[in-house]
Amino acid sequence: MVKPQPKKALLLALVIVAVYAVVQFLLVSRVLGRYYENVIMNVGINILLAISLHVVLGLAGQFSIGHAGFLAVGAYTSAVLTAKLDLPFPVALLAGAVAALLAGLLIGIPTLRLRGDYLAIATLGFAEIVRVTLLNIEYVGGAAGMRVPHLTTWTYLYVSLVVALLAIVHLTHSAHGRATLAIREDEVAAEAMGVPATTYKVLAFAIGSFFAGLAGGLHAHNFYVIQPANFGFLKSFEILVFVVLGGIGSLTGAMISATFLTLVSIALQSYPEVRMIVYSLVLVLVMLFRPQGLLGNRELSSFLPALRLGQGGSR
Amino acid sequence: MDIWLQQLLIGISLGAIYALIALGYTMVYGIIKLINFAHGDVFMIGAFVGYYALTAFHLGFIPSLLVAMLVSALLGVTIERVAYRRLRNAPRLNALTTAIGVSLFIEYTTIYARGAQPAAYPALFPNRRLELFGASIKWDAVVILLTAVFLMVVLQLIVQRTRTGKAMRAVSFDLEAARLMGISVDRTIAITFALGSALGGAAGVIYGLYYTKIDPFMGVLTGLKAFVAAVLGGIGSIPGAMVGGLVIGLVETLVSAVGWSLFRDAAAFLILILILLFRPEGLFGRHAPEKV
Amino acid sequence: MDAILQLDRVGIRFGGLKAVDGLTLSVRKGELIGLIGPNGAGKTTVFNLLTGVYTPTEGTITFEGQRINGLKPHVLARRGIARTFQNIRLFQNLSVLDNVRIAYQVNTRHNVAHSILRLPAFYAEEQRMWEDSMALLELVGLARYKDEQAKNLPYGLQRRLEIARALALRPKLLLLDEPAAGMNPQESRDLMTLIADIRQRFDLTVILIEHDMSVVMGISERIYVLDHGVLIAEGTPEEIRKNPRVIEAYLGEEAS
Repeated sequence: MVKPQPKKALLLALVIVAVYAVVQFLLVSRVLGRYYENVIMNVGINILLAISLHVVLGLAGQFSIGHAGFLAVGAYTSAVLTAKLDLPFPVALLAGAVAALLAGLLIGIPTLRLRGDYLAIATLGFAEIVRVTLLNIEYVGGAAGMRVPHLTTWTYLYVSLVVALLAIVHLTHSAHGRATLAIREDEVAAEAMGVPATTYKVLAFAIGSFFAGLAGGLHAHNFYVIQPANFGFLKSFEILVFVVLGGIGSLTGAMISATFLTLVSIALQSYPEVRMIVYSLVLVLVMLFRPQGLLGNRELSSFLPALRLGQGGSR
Repeated sequence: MDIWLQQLLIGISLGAIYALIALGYTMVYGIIKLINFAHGDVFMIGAFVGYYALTAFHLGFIPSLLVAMLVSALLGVTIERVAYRRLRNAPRLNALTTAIGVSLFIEYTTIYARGAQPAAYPALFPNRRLELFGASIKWDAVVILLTAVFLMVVLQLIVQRTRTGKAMRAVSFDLEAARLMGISVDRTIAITFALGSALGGAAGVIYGLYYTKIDPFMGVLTGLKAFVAAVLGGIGSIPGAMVGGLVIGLVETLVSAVGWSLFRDAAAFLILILILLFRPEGLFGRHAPEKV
Repeated sequence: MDAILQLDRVGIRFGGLKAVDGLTLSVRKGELIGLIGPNGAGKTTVFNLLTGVYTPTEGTITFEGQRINGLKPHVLARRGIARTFQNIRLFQNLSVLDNVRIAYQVNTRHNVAHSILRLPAFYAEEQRMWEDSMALLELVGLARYKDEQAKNLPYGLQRRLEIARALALRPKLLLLDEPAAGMNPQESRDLMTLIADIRQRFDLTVILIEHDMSVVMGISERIYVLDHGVLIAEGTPEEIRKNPRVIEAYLGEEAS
């Protein structure tokens, strides 16, 4: 049976508001100081990035390894709107997300008919083109980057995350979500069952890039300065690791691993080489010995049924 | 006229370097359908080994080159054995991710070991130049070009004229069939990696001699562009990699010469996107439709 | 002569190889046609042509009076041509119910926005899809496995699921590619009963590729025989059984 569950929805809404309120209180009253605020921001933005890539990689099964390109588009677009054009932050955030979405369509439509490895390289190439182009635009500061007002707050971050999560979960547990999963499982069979593969792949790309762009806006207004170097392949790879380590196809897996890895990253901040060595080593070991990642393609709700949000649908 | 000749030679030299690296990518992809992201870093290690051979051990050009090639070959074979062999039948994304992981591991371990600062290659034959058609070319450049060409010729001979080469071609055509015919697939793949990595390492030494400056991240961008060259030529095709490398090298030099040097790096990626959109099988590749 | 499907001198070439050449056949509405031939004869290629996976290099394919050359698979699926695959191509990591539901999404009217915002249209159609899918699963005897991952089903049930999935498209033409492959005689008989049943119940036209002669001869009204991409015989099961060219094609295969 598929009907709306008002009681569960209400409970969920309460939890969502409660979490917001608690953290907000802790931040405002300075129980959680600057340092912790920064950690929360980092983790939150990375979770948003991870789930945005999850839509493309986990749901639609498309090898997009240039995700930082969309992050960059969102970051720079929103930064220009606030820093240079004095527009309000929400407008800038939305504009950044939309710009990234357009970039996603621009890249997605021609390249989504490519097979696995080739798509990967194409997305990588796109991200590099974005980076090199930004490097050469004086208006946004070129290699030195540009200064961005610090406008990101817990409120903006939380609202963005909640919106993104709801949208993605609702999408996943719907006919459209299932069609997208079918493409991941077997594109030929999906087409034979009436699923227009390219349409859904582009849709996934668009949604993934939209939320990456949103994350970009939040990122830009959190770190005071943005430079093209921040959005290189290493960043794309970081996001990829979140999704892969969590288990391709698992939303909660992506969230958990994004949280965990961000915390590790912050802990090893002072030892950047060691951090990267450990990172890459862990990645290789996981790929060799537990390739399905943390949760495989299941969600946390498989283990804790009470948490199940969607109705039916695959796990 | 001589400006253009100068640029042409620069383009060809750069192209030769890309070609040598591209050969490694194309041979590995041809045989196990993997984009060996770590190959660019083998190139980098080759450059550094050559550097230390030349400066710390005071070996000559050829011994240094050979040492670099040997170490690179060993590195390539080790990577294949340790990281890739288990993933031969795994989903492509896993292998790709592992390759990226290996690449980063090599880069950051190198930095950890010797720091991130660049190093400078000594000049081989300082001040000797060759006069050709009114243009004055560094003798170093000539030696480098000849070396690259020589290595490519040797590779072609190995692939076309030896049993090992035949085995390599068989395995890249149909792995299972080759195994059934008694070819040792593991050994053949290892040899492929060894050859490709040796060439990559040689490219590193050549790059160092030509451009002087080397650093731990040199493999990233150069490797990526060499990969584009391999795709352009038709991934899996050896002549393709050579031609592709040449084309990318010339195009980049041209873009730089015309004054758009800031977009030089983007040129290769634009070419990539264009090939993938209009002719994904590259110049010499074959388009294989999926069997339903 | 109301042919629901008509092939006129259809051919396809892959590089230098002609996988199918000059194929002319027609199928009337409601018929159950068998398509047989030795391995490599091109039977699955014909299915691929009919479902838009390949585009014919020669000839015309007409479905319900309309030329369908070059149309893409998902378009043809929506027009009512459904198929199963020789090597099972289920959505392995999805549940049995989901495998079937995916075909139903062809008929949905609600769009992505409705799904994300959980508007009433979403719930109404989800409910309908659930009910229709469950009914179909009941029919093929898979209802109790609805939440099981497709890859966990035993082989015979996987074959049934593929058929159920194809039926979810509410097709007019059903193409079954070796549905009884790997089954023992009892399972094959059960499957044939199922096929006869669904054909009647849903008023389907069916084309069946099979190697098991008893299955094909028993259930087909007419048979087409393919060898090396060319039609070598057509007729009733009786006629085919006695046709010397057919016997030779099969014996030739056995001898080599």
